[in-house]
Formats: sequence, C-alpha cells, structure tokens
Amino acid sequence: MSRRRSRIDVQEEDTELNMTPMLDVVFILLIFFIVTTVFVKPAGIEPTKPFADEDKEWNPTILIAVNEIDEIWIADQPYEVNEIRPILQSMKDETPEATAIIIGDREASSGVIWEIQDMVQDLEIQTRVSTK
Amino acid sequence: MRKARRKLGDDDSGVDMTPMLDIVFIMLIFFIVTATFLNETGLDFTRPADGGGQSSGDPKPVIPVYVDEQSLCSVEGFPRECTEVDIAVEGHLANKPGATVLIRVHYAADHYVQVMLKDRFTKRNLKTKFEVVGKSG
Repeated sequence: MSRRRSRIDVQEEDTELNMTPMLDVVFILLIFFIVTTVFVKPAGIEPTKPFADEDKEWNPTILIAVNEIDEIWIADQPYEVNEIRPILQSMKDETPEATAIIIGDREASSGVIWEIQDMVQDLEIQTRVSTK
Repeated sequence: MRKARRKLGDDDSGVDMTPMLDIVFIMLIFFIVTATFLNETGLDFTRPADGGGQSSGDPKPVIPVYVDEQSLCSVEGFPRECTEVDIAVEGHLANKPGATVLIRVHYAADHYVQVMLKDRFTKRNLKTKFEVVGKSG
C-alpha cells in the first residue's frame, strides 16, 4: 500500500513544469515596463500641430494642449489662461523633474502660447512647443 | 530511513511560487496596459535668461519682423509673404551683420506662423527674440 502511494508521488513530481525560466522572463518584462512607464495624463484633445523641419524629439510628462478657440486642455479638462498656474504648480510639486510640451493648434493665438510658455518657464519646467 | 526523511524535508521546504506568480502577472499586465509610448517632437521656444544687459555697451543690431493679427508678415515695415520672411531677413543681414531677428507677434496671430518663422530661422542659425504685442481682452 505504502509502496504504491510513493510511486504515484514520484510520477506527480515528474510531470510538474519547471517554472523558473518563465519566471525569469516575466520578471525582466515587469522590470522593463516599470522602468519605462511614465504616467502621462493625456491632454484630452488632439490639435492640428504646425509643421516644422528643425524639431527635436521630446519626452514630456505634462501635456498642455491649446485648440483653435484658445481653450487650454490639461488632463481632459478645459481651462482659461489665468486658471492653469496652480495646476501646473501642483504637477511640478508632484514630480519635480517634470517636463512639459505645449501642443498648440495651427490656428491658436500666438499670445496664448507665449503666456503658457512664460508661465511654464517661470515655474522652471523645461518645455517645448509641439510640431510635426 | 534517514535518507528518505531528508528527501521529504527538501520537498516541503520548496516555497509555493503560485501566489507570487499571480501577483507578478497582474503587475505585468497592468504596466503593459498603462504604458503609453508617446513620440512628441518640438521646437525650443524657451526665452533666454535675462543677461542683465551684459552687452549694453554696443547695442546689437536688430531686424524687426512683425506678424499682425491677420497673420500677415512684414520685415522692417515692408509687407512680405510669411514664407519669404527668412529670405528678406537674409538680405537685411548684409547691412546688419550679426543682427538678432526681433519677431513681434500680435496676440491674435495664428500659432503656425511663429512656428514656421522659428523653424526657418533655426535652420539658418539666426538668433530670434519674440515679443507679443496687442493683448486682446
């Protein structure tokens, strides 16, 4: 009786899969995604970007979009120029190394873009103006 | 007898990995799903830090470019096509070597005009300075 049981045990042990290599791969994937993930809140709109040749790649964490009627969109919410300073300030406090991008519509007012640019610069956030 | 017991002990000390694996998989799926790969490109509109008038001794020559509220351009007061502003400025540069291009943009001018000007002057390695005029309500 006891002999038989022990033989079954041995068989079960043999059919068990070796998980270790898969675990290794899964861990490497996990670490890759943790390291590369930046939590970017989408602006909420996609303006028609102006065209430029001399643009450089930029990986922002704060997206500020301006549409053709000069509404400023941050994290799915529309704002006016005079409302966004505290929002940007809190985003800066959250992640001090935050970088921003101003995604202005082709037909947005130049003045609004500059007001945002000056404000962001005043908060010491590195920023660029998005082009395609 | 002794050998058998030791073997049994080994089996028992093997930690059950299944709950950890579950958690790791859930984390993996979470990070895969939330990963956003955005590829933005942009121009640097950062204003240079105020030099405090370090070159106040000899004022640098300036070539004024104006973009009005209808997004029409002029160079030194003469109307120009916005796409030809850089060529016009290049012409003025002969008289004013090392000049800075002062781009005065009306508050309501379309954004793409200033981007185009900045892009073209960057391409020609010309220093630009932006000023916004005529703030509307």
